[in-house]
Amino acid sequence: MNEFELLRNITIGQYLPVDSYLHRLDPRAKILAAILVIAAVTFTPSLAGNACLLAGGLALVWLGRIPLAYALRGLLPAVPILVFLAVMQLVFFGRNYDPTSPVVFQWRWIVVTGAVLKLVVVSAARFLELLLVTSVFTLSTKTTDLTLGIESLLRPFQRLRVPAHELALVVTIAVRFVPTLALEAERLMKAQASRGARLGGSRWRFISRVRRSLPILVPLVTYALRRGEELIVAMEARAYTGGAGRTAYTVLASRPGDWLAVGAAAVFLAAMLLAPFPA
Amino acid sequence: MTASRAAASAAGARAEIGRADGALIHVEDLWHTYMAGTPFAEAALRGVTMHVYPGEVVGVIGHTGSGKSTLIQYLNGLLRPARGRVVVAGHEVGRSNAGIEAVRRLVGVAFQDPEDQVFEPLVGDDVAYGPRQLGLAAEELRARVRWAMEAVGLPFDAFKDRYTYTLSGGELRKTALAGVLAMRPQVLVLDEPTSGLDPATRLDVRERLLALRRRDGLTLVLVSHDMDEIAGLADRVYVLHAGAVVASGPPREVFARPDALAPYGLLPPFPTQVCVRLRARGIPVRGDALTIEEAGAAIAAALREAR
Amino acid sequence: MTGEPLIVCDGVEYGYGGAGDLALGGVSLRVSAGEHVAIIGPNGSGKSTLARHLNGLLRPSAGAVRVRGMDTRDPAHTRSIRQTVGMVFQHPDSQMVATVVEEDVAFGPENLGVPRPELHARVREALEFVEMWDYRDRPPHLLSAGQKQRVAIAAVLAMRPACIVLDEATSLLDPRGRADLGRLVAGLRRQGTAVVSITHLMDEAAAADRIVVLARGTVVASGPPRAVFADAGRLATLGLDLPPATALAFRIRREIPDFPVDLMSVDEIVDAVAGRAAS
Repeated sequence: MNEFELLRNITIGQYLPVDSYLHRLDPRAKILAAILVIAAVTFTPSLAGNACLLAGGLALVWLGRIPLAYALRGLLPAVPILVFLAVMQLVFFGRNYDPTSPVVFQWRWIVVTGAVLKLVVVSAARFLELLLVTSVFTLSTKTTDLTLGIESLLRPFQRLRVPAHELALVVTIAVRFVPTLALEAERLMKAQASRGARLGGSRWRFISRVRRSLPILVPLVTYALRRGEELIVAMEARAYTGGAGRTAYTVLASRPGDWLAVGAAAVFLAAMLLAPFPA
Repeated sequence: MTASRAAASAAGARAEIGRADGALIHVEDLWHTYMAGTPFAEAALRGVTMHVYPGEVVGVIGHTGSGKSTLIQYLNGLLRPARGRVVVAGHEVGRSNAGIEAVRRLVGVAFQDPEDQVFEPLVGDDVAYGPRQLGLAAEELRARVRWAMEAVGLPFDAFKDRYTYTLSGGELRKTALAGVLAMRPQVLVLDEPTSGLDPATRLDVRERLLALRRRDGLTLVLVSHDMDEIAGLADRVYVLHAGAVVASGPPREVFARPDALAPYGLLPPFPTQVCVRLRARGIPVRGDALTIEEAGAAIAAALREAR
Repeated sequence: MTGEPLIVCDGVEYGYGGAGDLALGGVSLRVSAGEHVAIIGPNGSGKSTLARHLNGLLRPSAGAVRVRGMDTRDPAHTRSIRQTVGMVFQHPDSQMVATVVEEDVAFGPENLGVPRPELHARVREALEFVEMWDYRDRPPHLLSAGQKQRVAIAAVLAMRPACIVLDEATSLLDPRGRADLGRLVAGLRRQGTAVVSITHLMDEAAAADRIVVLARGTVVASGPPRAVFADAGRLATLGLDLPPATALAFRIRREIPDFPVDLMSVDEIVDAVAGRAAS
């Protein structure tokens, strides 16, 4: 129960060190499979389809041996956004969105139709599915594996002048600094609160939380630039001169079983696209 | 070993509850767990009890990870107790937001890294940030900023329009301090107030803090791992280890007691170390010298005696 | 070039641009193989600027710096100069490039193109030397400041340098972190690595073979620690401290005029007092 613990409520981006099928999966296979599943989420507009996807997401949580309560808690920070989106959709879509749909509720100028109701449920479900898939992905993938996977998958495109190594390094450094910057943001907010910045009130007052985080942006960017500048000097001091001539500490080796996951994800996507879900 | 010691000290702490009339800050049987309910859960405070009386200088000593920084955040309501109590001048931390705002006004905290604390581009604006939140009139605001800057040794006219990113480490530290002082707190909590400063600046900051206490009756809580610094300044110290208070009392008593620091990997101040070692070799010097001056005088006297 | 010391600075001048104010005004300095040199001086004396000349991060505007005879102004030598002289910086948060410890330690040797089996041997050896092998798969934000600095030292060691420059590397550490680093420095010297430490902690400087005192960009004193600290008056005018043992010895001498002042540790002062009391 703490208004400042930014990092601690975010499960996305944190690796959970347990041993599971998903944890052992080759990161390249996992990235491809995740892309396929996300595609399935994107192209499934029906209620029944989204129910299947939610079930699928929970199955992934189970497959990754992630404590269910922990995975669900990671969804909590998204709830205010979901509520906000739902209210906006309910209030502003009105009859314009699919005028043929029957009206279920009307109060002054606010009109809620069956189609809008369905839209609200489906978009909330999609949001949760995406969050589940990405957090299962990050909880089961070390960032080193993620960047090695990205670099390896991009390597065939190097001939098209895609800078695979540089992109992977950029992702690595970004990921490496996320927790550092989150902690710094926490320190800045505490310092400002200590000097009389207004309290945000209850934790559900989303707007006041946003307003309170604005004044930390400038010092946070300053901090990031300063650390970045020092990092460049430190990298230079360690003889970094770009990707040419470098060797690699870790080399990925996949087993045939890893590609089964990609196959399974592809079958899942096909099933979602072809299944005769009621519209 | 640590756990049993912590439990013993927690029992001692409970005995102290309710015997601290007149204290400005009461911390009673305070527990804290980071990331509670996740696989990363970690206990940071295990039943800490501590009191701060008006006008005194209290030292809190411990290694990184002893719970010092967590404790600081309770003193001005950045954290709200889930287990235990924190009461500042009658305001209970955790009950209401009004109470928290009052506590934050009474207790100013200067954090370890001034970079985190100075967030406005100009020195004057930064120092004015706190009092501005209080809605003061322009004249009063200016007077406060001037007072706070002069109190830490930053001449108002020379520094108010300086860009904060052009300041030296020492000036940045002083700006951060002035920003807290401008709130006119009754208690100033300082986390490693002189770390990373060169010797001359360190001495200057220390003198100015003592002057504030003398002139304005400011109560100071110094949180540090530097024994020599705490020894010369504090009236009373608390030694924190693994989230529990393992020793407390006047520094002279605590530092001279071999069991108060050594088991926790903490070394007494340098002059105390020398005097304790000399006594073990049979040389009659006081064992509780805290400063170079005291130790030097005692040793010189013992040497004259020996002739 | 046989017989020339490892690092030679000859009349190094450097200015950060602007009004003719030089950060370094003709500094000459030699560092021999295996030697430990401490550089002390008040804030703004040019210590860090000098440090950055030692491995070519900065290049002198007049004068020259040679590392094993290689001139730092010649870009052809950059990589081997950076391999020969490694640097550890002040801020623990801006030196780690990778998201886990072992990948970070591998970054330097990867840049040098060290082949894979040897890469692993080097990373393990370096991490074992700083006693961080057990932490090899930790992300940086879960390490203490002291542990981060130990990793930074390992990262340099894995490049097998002949000299390590510590640029105020202990100033943001607690006493335990400082003591750990002090032990590492002693270990480095036993294995023949030269160390240049820039510091404002006199206890740390006292452990060196030689102290160089810098003020306003020039060398104002140089010699063994005992000799440098015996000139307490000069250090005081520069705003520098004495090690506590030396300060205590000076205090005793005020009353006992023939008390020695070239003392630098608890042991030395206890022995000196006990010896006199007995005689």
